Amino acid sequence: MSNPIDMFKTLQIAAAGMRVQSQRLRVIGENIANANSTSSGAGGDPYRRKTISFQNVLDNSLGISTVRVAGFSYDTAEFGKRFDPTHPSAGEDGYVLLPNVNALIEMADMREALRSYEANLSVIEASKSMLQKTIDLLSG
Amino acid sequence: MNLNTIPLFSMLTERLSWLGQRQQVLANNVANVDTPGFKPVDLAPINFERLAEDASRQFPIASTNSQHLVSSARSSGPYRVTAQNAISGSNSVVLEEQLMMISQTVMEHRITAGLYAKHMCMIRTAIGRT
Repeated sequence: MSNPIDMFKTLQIAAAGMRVQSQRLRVIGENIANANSTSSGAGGDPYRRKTISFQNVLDNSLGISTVRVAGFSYDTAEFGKRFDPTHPSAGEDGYVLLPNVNALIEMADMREALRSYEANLSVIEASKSMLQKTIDLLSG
Repeated sequence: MNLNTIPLFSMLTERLSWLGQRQQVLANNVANVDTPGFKPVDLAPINFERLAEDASRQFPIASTNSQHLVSSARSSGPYRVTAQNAISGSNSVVLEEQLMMISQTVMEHRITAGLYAKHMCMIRTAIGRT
């Protein structure tokens, strides 16, 4: 039966899913850590929120279609403003530009990444149990 | 002695193969739960009674069963991949449904593997070896 080979491929597919969710979590972590990072010089741009996108590709060498990170990009939303002329990053008009990171959105994103990660983990458990059962046929 | 000439064993082997490939397809669905524009797919169910008849006529299965396709883009095995009901435009993977289908596949695999082991046991008894 081609069964065991399919099981190994399933493990690889689920592992790819876990990998992309970890990278997503890394981007979320960067965003949260820099949620208050204003620009280093006077009147410059603060930290801009990063985003990550996925794609499903057919990997011909392994013969399976897996998910992978398509790329990283920046959120083009507007920066927030706060009036504070005494701040070192304040521009000529006295406004300090704040990063476009919303902590609530990042937290919700983080929970979703965790849920997807756990779903892939349960797929690995299921495949492992099927593989184990197939191997147990030998001892039957 | 080729066990696959016995229709029962060829049916069970075929089913195990189908279940293994279905697991692969469903795992890909789960891995792509956040990919934009991804449509979940599933394997078309196979008519196993017809497969058993084909095997007993001793034709090679691949050439007589119309539900077998060689090398489809989304799967690496010989079974036909069909799209699940999908909402167009966005990612439409419902995680709970996929996980439910995965556990269903695991249970069917357990049943089929158990049946295979049981029948092997019976054959061993028949040839006088426990």
